[in-house]
Amino acid sequence: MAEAKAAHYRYFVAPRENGDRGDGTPQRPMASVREALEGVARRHGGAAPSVKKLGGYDRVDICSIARPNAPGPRRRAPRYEFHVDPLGAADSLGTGTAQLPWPDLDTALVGVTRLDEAGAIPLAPGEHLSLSVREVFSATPVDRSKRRHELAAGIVFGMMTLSLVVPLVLILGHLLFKAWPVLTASFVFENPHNKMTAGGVWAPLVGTFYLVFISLLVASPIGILAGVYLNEYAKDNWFTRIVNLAVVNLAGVPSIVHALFGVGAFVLFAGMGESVLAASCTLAIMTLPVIISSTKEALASVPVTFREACWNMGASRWQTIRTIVLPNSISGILTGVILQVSRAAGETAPILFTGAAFYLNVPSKGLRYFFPYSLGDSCMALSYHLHTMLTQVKGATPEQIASGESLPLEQLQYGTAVVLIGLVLLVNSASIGLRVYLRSRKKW
Amino acid sequence: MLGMKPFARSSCLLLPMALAVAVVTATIAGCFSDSRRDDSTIRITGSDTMVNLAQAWAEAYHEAHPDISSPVRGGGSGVGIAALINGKVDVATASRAMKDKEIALARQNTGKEPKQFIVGRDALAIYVHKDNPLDEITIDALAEIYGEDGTITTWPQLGVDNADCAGGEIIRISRQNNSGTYAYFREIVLGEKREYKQGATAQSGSSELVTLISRTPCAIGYSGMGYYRPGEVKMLRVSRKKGEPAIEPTLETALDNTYPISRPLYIYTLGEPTGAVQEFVEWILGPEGQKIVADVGYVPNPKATETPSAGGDSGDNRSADKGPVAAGADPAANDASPRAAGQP
Amino acid sequence: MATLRATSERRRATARVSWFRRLPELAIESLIRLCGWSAILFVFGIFFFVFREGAPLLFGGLDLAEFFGSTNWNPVADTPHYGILGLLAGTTSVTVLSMAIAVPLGLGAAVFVSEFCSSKVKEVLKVAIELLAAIPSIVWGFIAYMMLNPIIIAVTGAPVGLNILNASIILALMSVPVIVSVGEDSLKAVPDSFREAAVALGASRWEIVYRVLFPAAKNGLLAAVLLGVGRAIGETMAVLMATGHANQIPTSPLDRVQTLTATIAQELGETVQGGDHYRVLFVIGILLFVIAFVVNLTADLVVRGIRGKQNG
Repeated sequence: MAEAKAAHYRYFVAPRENGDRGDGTPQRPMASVREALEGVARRHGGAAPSVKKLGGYDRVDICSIARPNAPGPRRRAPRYEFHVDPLGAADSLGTGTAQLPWPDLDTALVGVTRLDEAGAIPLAPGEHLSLSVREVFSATPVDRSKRRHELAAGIVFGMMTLSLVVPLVLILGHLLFKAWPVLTASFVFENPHNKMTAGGVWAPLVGTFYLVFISLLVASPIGILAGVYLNEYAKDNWFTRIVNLAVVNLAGVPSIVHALFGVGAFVLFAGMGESVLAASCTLAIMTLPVIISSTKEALASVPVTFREACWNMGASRWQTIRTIVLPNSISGILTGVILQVSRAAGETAPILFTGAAFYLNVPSKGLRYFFPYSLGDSCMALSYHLHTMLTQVKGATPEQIASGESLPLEQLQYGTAVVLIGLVLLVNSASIGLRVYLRSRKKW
Repeated sequence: MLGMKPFARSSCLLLPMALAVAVVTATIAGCFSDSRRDDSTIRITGSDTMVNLAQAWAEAYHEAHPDISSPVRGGGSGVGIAALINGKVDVATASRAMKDKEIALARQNTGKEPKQFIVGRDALAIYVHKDNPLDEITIDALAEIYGEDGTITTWPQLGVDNADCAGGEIIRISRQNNSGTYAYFREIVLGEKREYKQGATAQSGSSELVTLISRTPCAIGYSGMGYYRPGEVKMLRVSRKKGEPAIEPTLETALDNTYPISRPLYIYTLGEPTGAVQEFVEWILGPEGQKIVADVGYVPNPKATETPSAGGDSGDNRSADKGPVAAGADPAANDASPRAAGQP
Repeated sequence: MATLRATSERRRATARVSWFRRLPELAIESLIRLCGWSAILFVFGIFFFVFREGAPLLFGGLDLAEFFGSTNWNPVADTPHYGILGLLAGTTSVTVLSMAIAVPLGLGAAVFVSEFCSSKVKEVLKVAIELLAAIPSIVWGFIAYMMLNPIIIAVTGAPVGLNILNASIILALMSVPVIVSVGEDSLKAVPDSFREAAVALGASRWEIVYRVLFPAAKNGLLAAVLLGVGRAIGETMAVLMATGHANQIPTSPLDRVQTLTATIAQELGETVQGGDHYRVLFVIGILLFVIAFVVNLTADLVVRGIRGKQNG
């Protein structure tokens, strides 16, 4: 990073007052120019690893001051100026001028020391001599200011990005920290009991699985086929544009409007009542557009040449899709579908009026432990459970908590939130992992 | 032979489709099986105030009768009653009595008379932050705080120096506008004519409301006394008028009706309950069910425990032949709810 | 010769079974077409069913002047009032403030991800932003209620920590991922030749960003912002918990407000089906649907605008 910033070192020189050997700071100046030059040699000659070697546009100033702590050089321009340039003086030792610079620092130090001994460079207090190192192919001052701007821009934008990532970390950390006491296997696998002040989240968790699974079962065939249509069949005309627009708009419909639709269409019109089915169908419509567009994207990434090769074999359009396009994009489609799992699992508004229950008895053993809900009836769901834990569940009394039969409400709330987030992030990570894996073994 | 192979390969795609077809079939089946299927499910829906109570009943009853499972839904008294009118639930819980209109609608929809049971009483406590120096309040002051064109907007107007509350402004916490609690509070505190002042923070649940007050030094709110959390919030003593003694909300004061804001809690069934529902209702009115009422923080209905055989015979002094809203037959419910008492 | 014979045999075989063999194929193709068109069906379906529930009130006695012009939202009063001005003000204020936070951050992050960082850092950041997008809205509400509420009280001295500011911060964090990803896509879509030309002229990366990339990716960035706006307007559960849910015209960011979406979520559950209160919530649903439609349509047209220009 020699070009990152030109360093500027200063050594102060003043008549010695006591026996103290100075270190070149204004407080403890060195006794003579010669001593300062020795200091430079010691520090920059490569001995001390903590100090970088002098490079392009670095500068060493030796400033003469009247006494310790006196103000530094009054004039900006140095009294004497010497130059070092590794490439500038190819065949001579140089004289230290800009035209004939010294080839390296050692030569320069020897040269300056000789001049000093000869008394050729007397320094009055307030004056200074400078030794500049120049390098071919190093940054010019304009370039350096450009880089400074760039660094500033990078820092500004970086901070903006950081201000998004930091809350994420803080939130996840805080939730995890608060929920830690209840996060055991039994919290996940036990049903809520004792007036919902004890136990875990099994019943809502299973309900969420139900909702997600059924909604995917409904949405993914329709969504994938619609994606196939849009990418493989649709001609580039106004009608296709409208279909695309519909997909975009479907994705933009607020979740609460989906809920209203679910009430109007599934609960009332289709007569499903508030049930697992109605809630799943509502979720399915909500997740549909994203499945469509991710399928479209996955299909579009299959090169046209693959299709052409297949067509040339005499295959029909559907045969091509079935044997070439889908197998080559199935994993991309899967990524999109998996991503929708996390969305469906997390949504609360669409199931609020279409099939979420406050509480249901779920047997704690047997087959009904795993399959407690019937499609025509409502179910518990993790996201709605978090909502009820926040708004409606009363919580245990201190005596109940002390006796160990109940858990504090806050811990249960945090625990539920963490299980929900954990589920969603797990699914998301699976999707991300799949994507990375796919990219690594993409054949084209 | 050319045709066979691609078909085999496409089976991976056909599988989800087959599943989709299965779901559609299940959908249709679901539509038909939507109405009450069997005796093993007792669906309970209704009042938010009572949702924890209903949950506790369902849980305990399931322990005693493992073959019965009861989905519990909250939403509010209106939801439960509406679902009852549509014949979609077995038991509706309500923190207010059914209106005449609703009874007529139920009769018209289902041909059955809704049957009312009083299962307990609830005192509506006035909550403030635990560090609030205020200890008691009158109904009139509450009306001026919550009512339209009310004059009390700051704590100093109530004569207290609420040190933790920087601006001194009273933050009104209320419930969503169609909850039974909201309606009942209006009825008792504001009276029949007066409306709420706009701009109160409306919370979706009683527990949420208490949590918010525990974190907000300036806040005042109302909720069932079952939601009291010692050490986090404070319940105020309430007096009917200035000068009258202020009464603390307790089981006793709610029961003998000295606490001014207490109300009966109802459950409704469509017609005379039969089979599993009958057993369930009897159990609720029996000692076990009533013990849970007390555990959850409400006041058990002594009348109910006196006649544990309940069902058809004991129900008559609550509803049956005197019309569905004859809550007046129950001394405990006597004048607690003007709306109910006002019925012929 | 052998291959030629094989091909012709196969062709003959195909011809023989052709119409019969094509039957399942025709079936599946029409199924695909049907599914493709279903998107339109669903959009109309949503509009139809929401409209169906709301229409009886919308055309039967809803006073539109009061609906849009009054702040009196009291659907359960003896003479009910359906004034949504306060709710509109709530939705607007929360959306505007959240965008004021999210747009600079989102676009800044998009620029950083697309122009400034190495590909490794980029991967990590994109994953982080994806995870940010994955957090469910009810959890955001939980965070607003439990974490942000006391922080806002401590920092601003507001009496209640559930207010516009709280909701805006939450909404900003929720809508930033979409702004970042769409914004980054549109920056990526700017041809490299633009960047190379600017570098050749001696521009710094900073200058490239605001003199070359921003103008070139203008439409895409605008679309990103619009999608963020759409997300902010439509968000429900988080806003319900974070705004304080009080119907009033706000005068400062520390005021509590009530939004359109949260009102539906909170009140629909308890209304009697077919009642006026029930229907008016569906009318609000229609309004939300129309707003979302307009926002998304605009975003789509804007995006198409760039594509058309680039192709042409």
